[in-house]
Amino acid sequence: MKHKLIKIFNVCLVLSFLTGCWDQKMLKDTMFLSTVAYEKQKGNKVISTIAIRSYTSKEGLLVNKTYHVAGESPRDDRTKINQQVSGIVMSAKKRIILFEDRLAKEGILELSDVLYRTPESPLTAKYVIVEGKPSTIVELQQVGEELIGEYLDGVVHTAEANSLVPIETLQSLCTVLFDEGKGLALPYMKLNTENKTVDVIGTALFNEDKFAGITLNPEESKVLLLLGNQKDKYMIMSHKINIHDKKYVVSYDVSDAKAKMNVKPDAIHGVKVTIPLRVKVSINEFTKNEMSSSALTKNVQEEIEKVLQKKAEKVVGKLQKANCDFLEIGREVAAYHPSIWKRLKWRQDYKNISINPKVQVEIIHRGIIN
Amino acid sequence: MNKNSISASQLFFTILQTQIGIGILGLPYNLFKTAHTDGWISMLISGCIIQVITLFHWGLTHRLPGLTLYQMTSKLLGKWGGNFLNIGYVFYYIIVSSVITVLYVNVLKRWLYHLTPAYVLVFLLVVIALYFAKENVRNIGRFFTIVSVFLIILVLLISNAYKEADVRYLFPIGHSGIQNILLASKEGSISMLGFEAILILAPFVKAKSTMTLKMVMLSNCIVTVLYVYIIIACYLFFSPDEILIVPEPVLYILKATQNSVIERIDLVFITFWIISVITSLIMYVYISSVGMQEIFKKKTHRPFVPIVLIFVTGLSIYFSKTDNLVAALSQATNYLIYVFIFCIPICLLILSWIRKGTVKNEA
Repeated sequence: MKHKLIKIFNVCLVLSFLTGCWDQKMLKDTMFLSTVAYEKQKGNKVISTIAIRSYTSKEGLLVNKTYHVAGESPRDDRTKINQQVSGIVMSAKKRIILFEDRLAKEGILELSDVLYRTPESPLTAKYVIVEGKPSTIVELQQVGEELIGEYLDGVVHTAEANSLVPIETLQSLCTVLFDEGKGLALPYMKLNTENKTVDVIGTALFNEDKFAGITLNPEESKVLLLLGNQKDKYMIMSHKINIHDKKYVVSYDVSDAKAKMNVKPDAIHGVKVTIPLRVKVSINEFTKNEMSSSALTKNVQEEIEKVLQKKAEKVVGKLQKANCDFLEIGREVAAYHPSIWKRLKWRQDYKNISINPKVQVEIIHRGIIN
Repeated sequence: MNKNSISASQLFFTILQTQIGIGILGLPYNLFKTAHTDGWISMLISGCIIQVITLFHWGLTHRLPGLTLYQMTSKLLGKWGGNFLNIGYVFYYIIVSSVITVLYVNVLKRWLYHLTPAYVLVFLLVVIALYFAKENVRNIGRFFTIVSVFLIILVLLISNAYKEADVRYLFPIGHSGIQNILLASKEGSISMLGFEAILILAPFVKAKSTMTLKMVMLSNCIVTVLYVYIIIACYLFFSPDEILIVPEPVLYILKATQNSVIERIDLVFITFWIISVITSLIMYVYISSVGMQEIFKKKTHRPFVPIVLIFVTGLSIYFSKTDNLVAALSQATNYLIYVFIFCIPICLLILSWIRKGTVKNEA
């Protein structure tokens, strides 16, 4: 009898633990924040434009709504949003964060603290710099059937897969920003008013955590990724080239690219860097309609090489002008030439070192016709 | 006695599970503070230091076979001295148990349960400790052996970090200087505590004394390798200055990496990590209650387990209130560790050599 009583008591004790949880968050009360856009307002305030999605409505219909609030900080904005919505706003499903270029020039790290400090925030979310007002993009609400949050995520994802922009998540960009020997580049986007869509127009270069105001166009971004060994799945390029004084268009896939880095000590500027880049391409389109002779192939190869070489030099020039060490030269020097690294003040000296890209192109396929 | 014995392999897993615990999460950060990215070298040195200290502990069990730590003290120091030291050890283990509980609550509160009251989290842990620590060594050993499977999962989860590793962060190797590397190895040694359970467990092991030593040393090796693996994972993932702002780099890595099936791997990791925490807690509560049994000269340690846990609960609820109190308690414990784990056993060993004749005579 006594034994039974103890057992019943134990069961009741255990049951009392099963009644619920302090930290439970019900899906039906939750509003998911899908996209945020930050922009500047006079007097140091930050305007957040937020797209919210929820499943609260009847028959599982999705609700999508945008809110504007102005506060002292992103967290302050969130608190103000909470006053306007019915339910708890949760940022765990946030995928894309848009920054106005003007605001990004003042530094992005300051505004990101809340994302790193709170455990719920998604560290795989992505930053995008927007030319002009990012709120106009969020206000699109919907592009075709897609809600703005998913749409933006898809656009950035596609740009990454096509090696148009570097893959940089919230976490990885923090790693880059805390390393003196690395530099940050983020996707650069603008609203396409004609089609009511967005357009990825290249990459934005950063000096520390501040947008340097210098951007690369899509072609240059691709070369940047080649130099930095960050090509993703696909990369398609097309150029106008001169063959026997006639202009043709050649388009090709970059099948394989490998950039190395040779760092040599230099008396005047500390280091001298050469970046040999080997690119293997397969031709998709050549408007001369034939490429049968090996002499012609070689000619095309040399022309492509020339174009890429020129672009690479331009990219390196822009990087140095922006003081953005995207190619991680500083990290290389710090790791393998520590004595030189100690003498240098990288943030200042990076601009002056000589960086020489050396592009080498090889055509490995010519498609299914000659 | 026969029923209450463990095999050599059970000893190995018991020590291993006691060693791996709360320390995993913060270790890379703690080492980084002094040794920078050479923290992994410090960890290797710590491994060696612990091996040497293990030799001392084992020496003690070898010289006084069949006795637990609490019986050794009485034998070497007499009834009063022995009891005095035993009370010290009981309190030391109560405090260590509290530190484990407090750190566990602190991590859970910051990472998962912001609203759940601390006493609930403490209570859940303490109930499990109560359930297991009242058992004999054999049952505890069996449980520890089974849950060791989960260590493999921990290792696999951490391998996520190596996907985005930059080897250049480790170079140049040794740039923080020998002095800093050695200083940091202090921190590393503390994270390897748990091997001292040999002082209590040795009489229960059904194997040769040298086998016992081998098992403990093997456990030390595995823990060192595991820790170096974790440390390097963190150092390759984060850029050096970034580690300074991330006190739990292991969880942060897992939070940042994404899997197509599970979005928040850190939460899965915490679940398995809690098992390792519980095993450490069980062992320390057990040791502490065995000490009380010895002081009060009782047949079993069972009635003392709840008493120990009441102390632990009280201390943990108090100290888990703010982050500062947590830090203060673990700092204070670090000093106690030097006394109770490093100094006293070595003194006892020396004493056993000096009193060689008399001890033998009494026996």
